[in-house]
Amino acid sequence: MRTSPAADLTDAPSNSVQVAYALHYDTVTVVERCCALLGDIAPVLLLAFCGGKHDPAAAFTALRSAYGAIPVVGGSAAGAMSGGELGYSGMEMGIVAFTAAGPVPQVHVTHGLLHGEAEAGEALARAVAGQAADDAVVLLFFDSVASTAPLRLHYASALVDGFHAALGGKRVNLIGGGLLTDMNLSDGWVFDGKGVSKHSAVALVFPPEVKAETTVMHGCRPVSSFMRITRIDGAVVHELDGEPALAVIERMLGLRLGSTDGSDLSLVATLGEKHGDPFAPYDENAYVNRLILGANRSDGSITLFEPDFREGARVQIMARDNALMLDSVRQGTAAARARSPAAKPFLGLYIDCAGRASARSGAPFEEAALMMQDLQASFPLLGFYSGVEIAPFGTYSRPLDWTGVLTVLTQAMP
Amino acid sequence: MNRVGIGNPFERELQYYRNECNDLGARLLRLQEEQSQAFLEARRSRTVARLVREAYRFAEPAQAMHDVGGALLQVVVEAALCDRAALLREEPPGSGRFLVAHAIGGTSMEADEVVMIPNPPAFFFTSSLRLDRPPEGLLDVLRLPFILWGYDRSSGHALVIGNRSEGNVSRPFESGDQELIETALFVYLDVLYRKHAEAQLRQAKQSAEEASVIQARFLETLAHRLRPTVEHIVTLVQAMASHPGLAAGPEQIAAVTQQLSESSRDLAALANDALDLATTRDQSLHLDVQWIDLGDAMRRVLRSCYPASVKGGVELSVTLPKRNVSVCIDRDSMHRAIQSLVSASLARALPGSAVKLSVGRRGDGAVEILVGCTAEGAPSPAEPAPEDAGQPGRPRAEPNADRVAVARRIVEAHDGVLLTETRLNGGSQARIILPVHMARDDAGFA
Repeated sequence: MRTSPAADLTDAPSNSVQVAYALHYDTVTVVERCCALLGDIAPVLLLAFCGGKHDPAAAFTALRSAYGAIPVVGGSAAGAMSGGELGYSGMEMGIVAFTAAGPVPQVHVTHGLLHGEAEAGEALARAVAGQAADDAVVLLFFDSVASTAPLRLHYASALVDGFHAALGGKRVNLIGGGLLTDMNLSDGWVFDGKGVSKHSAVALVFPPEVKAETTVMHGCRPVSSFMRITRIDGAVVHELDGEPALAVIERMLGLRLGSTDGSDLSLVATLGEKHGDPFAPYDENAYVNRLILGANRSDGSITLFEPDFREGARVQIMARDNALMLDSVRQGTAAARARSPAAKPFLGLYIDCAGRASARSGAPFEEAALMMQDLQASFPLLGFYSGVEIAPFGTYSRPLDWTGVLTVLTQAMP
Repeated sequence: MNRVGIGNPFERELQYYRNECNDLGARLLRLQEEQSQAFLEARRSRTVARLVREAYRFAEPAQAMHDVGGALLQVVVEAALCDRAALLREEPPGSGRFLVAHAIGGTSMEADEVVMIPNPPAFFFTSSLRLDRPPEGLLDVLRLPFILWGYDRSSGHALVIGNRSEGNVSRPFESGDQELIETALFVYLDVLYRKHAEAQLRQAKQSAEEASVIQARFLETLAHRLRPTVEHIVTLVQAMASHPGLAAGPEQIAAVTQQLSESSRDLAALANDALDLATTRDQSLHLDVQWIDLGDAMRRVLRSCYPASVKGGVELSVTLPKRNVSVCIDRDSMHRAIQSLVSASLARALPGSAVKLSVGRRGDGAVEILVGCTAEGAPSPAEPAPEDAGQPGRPRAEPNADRVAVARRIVEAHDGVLLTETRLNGGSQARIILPVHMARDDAGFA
């Protein structure tokens, strides 16, 4: 689909980084079209997001055929966007090509997510800490789906907690996303630099002259009073205010969550934890929201996307609000436009929760299209639809649900 | 609903507002959910309109016919947001034997795969709410539990889309989806028919142009051959007119008579050739058709053209379909047709370039034999080669236009189509399309 009017978003002031987006059912063709859009360049690193209907090995081989044995990182995406176009049919391909003429990130990989997300995060951080400068920009991507039957996710919160813990006091500006093949959480995989893998995380560490200006766009508003989590086990919330969580939520909302067996993702409502003063006026940036991955009718529990809520936490039921989501995008893009003129932007990255797509949310139009249209970026911009977003929240980064994370990477002016 | 305390009035008031807040919040959420659902329903109802609008773009002449199936399937997947989709072709019609012509979304599902569906329904869907069993083989195409199937018995084409689950983006299929699947299938068939008609028109135009070229060349040859004879006559007449009293000696008369006689015989032979050519063109070819393995036929062409390719320094190769395909043709005449096209390409190819012969089944089941020359700037096989210039005294080679004309005549006699095209890179190609009823898939693999 194409936004109207199409914004010229790929007219970069410098050609050190180029982006391309294409859509085609044939894997080799979609890669060839992206390569044609990238033009006659010699990239030294590719960040690629590939629709889940494509054969990942064929995509990787095609990219290597085009550019030689350079590192290819990134992975599957439920959809992608750039240059005023976007799609989430699983046939998209979005590529960021880094050339030697500009800042090129160092790549670090872990393949240990299946053995523990926290441990994998720690291992990744130990590798990153040796190279990253203080406040270095680090992009982190991992495959979100650990197993499909039963559905289990790789928890971003554990990965990020492990990562922060092993940095040894070093602060980095961590931004990233969980990779999916589609909106149904069917699968996910990673381009790890040398091939295609699962249960992996890849970190891109930028040199110190690169900074990131990040705007988080939300779209949920509280629709209940505060409740306390009185029993929780990881991501499974058993009780709210001493009653079965599922019963409390369904009674309060007057509707049923998910399908008959409650095994699918419900986007009707999320649980939100407000940070800071709980009685301060509503501020979307004060909330960490968690999607409800499924409900268990036999024990009355609900399972959240992440296991980072704690017993005793005060939470509210949050409703997705499409009008609020679009307003948030307008405000967020306005903030991104108003960035400091002292830094030269060379790449915009939009990590967008797949649930925000119109086909999933029921929004009257695509918020990502609105973002591209409003931003009128004069730098290369690429986005992809993710399972979870990682962005700075307070003093450190954490995973967020139902958000659009717009990061503009800048390079200090000489 | 939270219980209202009966003690402290402030607590009661707090509880009252809390209850109101929760109630209003729940109403707000339900309203927003209803709004979202209404929009999603509206979006689904627009899917068919979008599908029709997008799919008819493929009817444009610029869209190659062999691309239509995949491109249309892409539009279907984009519009329906399904996990997998496939276009199938029943071969032979009515057999229940379906070949996957195009597929999207499954690495385990490949084009040319064969699925048996003994009793294919015109329309069917599966969902968790539907208890009747799907017809045998129907779920084997996409290997997914939830499918939406449409089938046109008269053409033997079918379209199926499917989902792994019914949650999240994928809503359950229902009877109302018949419009979606049938519209997509019939738009595909309509575009195919348009492409067929377009190909036939192009063929007719090319035939007319070729006839015109051959006629012009014949007239040119006639003029070349006629000129010496007429010049001899004119010379003799001028001599007699200038010197009426001059009596020609017997040697002079014998010499002029000899020249006139030779020229006359040459003209008579030319007239006979012209009559023979016209007769041949009017006659219908006698074809001794039988099922021929296309791979064998192509290899035979390769063998016969190999010496010429080596001599010209041109690489000659053939690409065959993964599955064995047989065609019902006259072995020798079709060999001559394809050989003529390859020879025409070789005559044009620059040293170091390549002439490629490729064979494939298209989405509509037709067999396509492509003869392409990769040489930059190579003229179309229908254009005259330098060797064709009818210089007197030079051995006369079979002109490229004649080669193409011969090939066209043979292909048309087989109920096929021959199209010659100039590609964007300046190379040229000839495309033989044999109709689906003349082709069959054999069990083995090439």
